[in-house]
Amino acid sequence: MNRGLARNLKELVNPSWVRHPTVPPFEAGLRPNKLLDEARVVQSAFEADDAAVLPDGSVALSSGRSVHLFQEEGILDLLVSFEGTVMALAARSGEIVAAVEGRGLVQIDVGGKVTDLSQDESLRSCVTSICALDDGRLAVTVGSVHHSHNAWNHALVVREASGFLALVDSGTVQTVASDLAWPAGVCAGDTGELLLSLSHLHRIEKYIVASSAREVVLDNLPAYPGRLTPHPDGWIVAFPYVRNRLSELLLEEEDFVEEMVRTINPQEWMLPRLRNENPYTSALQLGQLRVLGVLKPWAPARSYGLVGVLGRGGRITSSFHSRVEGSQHGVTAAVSTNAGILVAVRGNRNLLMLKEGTS
Amino acid sequence: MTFVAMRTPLSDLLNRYPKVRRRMTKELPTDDWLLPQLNVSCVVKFNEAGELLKVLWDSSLENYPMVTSVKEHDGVLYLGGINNNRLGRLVLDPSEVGDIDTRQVPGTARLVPPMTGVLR
Repeated sequence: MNRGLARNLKELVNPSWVRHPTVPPFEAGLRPNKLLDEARVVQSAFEADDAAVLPDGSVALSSGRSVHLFQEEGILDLLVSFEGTVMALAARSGEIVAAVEGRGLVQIDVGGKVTDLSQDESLRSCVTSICALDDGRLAVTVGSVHHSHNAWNHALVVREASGFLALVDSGTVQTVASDLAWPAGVCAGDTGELLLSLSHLHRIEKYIVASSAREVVLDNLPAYPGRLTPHPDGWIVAFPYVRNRLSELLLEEEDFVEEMVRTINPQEWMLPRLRNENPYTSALQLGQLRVLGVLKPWAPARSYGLVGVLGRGGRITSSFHSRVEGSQHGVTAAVSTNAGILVAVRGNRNLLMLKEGTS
Repeated sequence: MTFVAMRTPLSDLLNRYPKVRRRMTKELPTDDWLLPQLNVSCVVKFNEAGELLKVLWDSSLENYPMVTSVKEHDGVLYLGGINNNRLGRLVLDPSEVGDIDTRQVPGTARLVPPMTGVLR
């Protein structure tokens, strides 16, 4: 019996047996605004993926196969280029740690000199984020053992949960949590725990290293959380994608999804995405219809710009949005600097500087 | 002729899954329904042999979305959209304008004198 028929029968007998997944609205700290669209563009035509703040205030940025240093507006220097894509970055005592596809973890000094840290097979692909801990170890999340780091949507359609969290101590890799649904971000907490964002589960968890226990911090978020970075009030969460009610419904339709994956270009799949590459071949949801010349901002979004500040109380306390009619969509990293929050908008290929206190 | 919407691979695929469409229309608000791309507008000029002579697009997806009617009159092409707050007006190249009275139904007697000398 297929799942749809079983659900219909259950609902017929007792409607409360069936749970229809819902997408919660943006409310409280996630109340929509236009702050990402109004933020200052400090670098355009630059597709940054991850960012890490160095002690001198400069920011290391990964873009494709290169690592760049951002000093201030308009000054962006190429530091080093690799054979493979730079998947994630972190800063550790004045040096940069990068995960390079096909190579593993490397350390880069400010002069661009590269030293290998770990060439472990498990860290050569799909590393989604790195965090340097106070004790010198590195916490590394790997989104999936079967997919590459940019195959977030491929892993979502097959409902895969093969990601893991590892601690790297002088080249030794210790997996501390496995079978995770695309862990996309990790950051040190206040009391020795790790904050972990599980993208496909729309959830942020706390991982207690000493007891290997996991606790839910935020569940059923309206967006897919990504990288986590420290902030004076708590942590910054970059949300590359937001949830869409239609894509959640279609993901339950196995036959449809199977044919969609088999026959359609992945950019056109009915899934959240960083940007709309080709509007001519992209299907529309009725709310996105432009009426009287206006695209309503609350239309269902397939690409969206969202950065949230997660307070120490475990709630999103403030957020910065670029809504459906805006353009700053697909934020993959946001870091707190002396000048404000530097946001890497990968979807729209630019860098923004958000001033604190504007949310 | 106008194209009201562009076919897309995804909307074509959904057309082959009536049960999924039924679930979509039952369980989701109309704003979430999947449709072909209605914000892209296209106007084509073709002849009786079915040959395409000219195509007009709006790549901005903003200026004239969902053009539902097109009318040539006195050397000008007017573009109307049922959901638009504007009427497009495109002055045609004189070589594009034929000698047919566009208000006339083909094959019938001329009922209205042609409008000539109208100020643009």
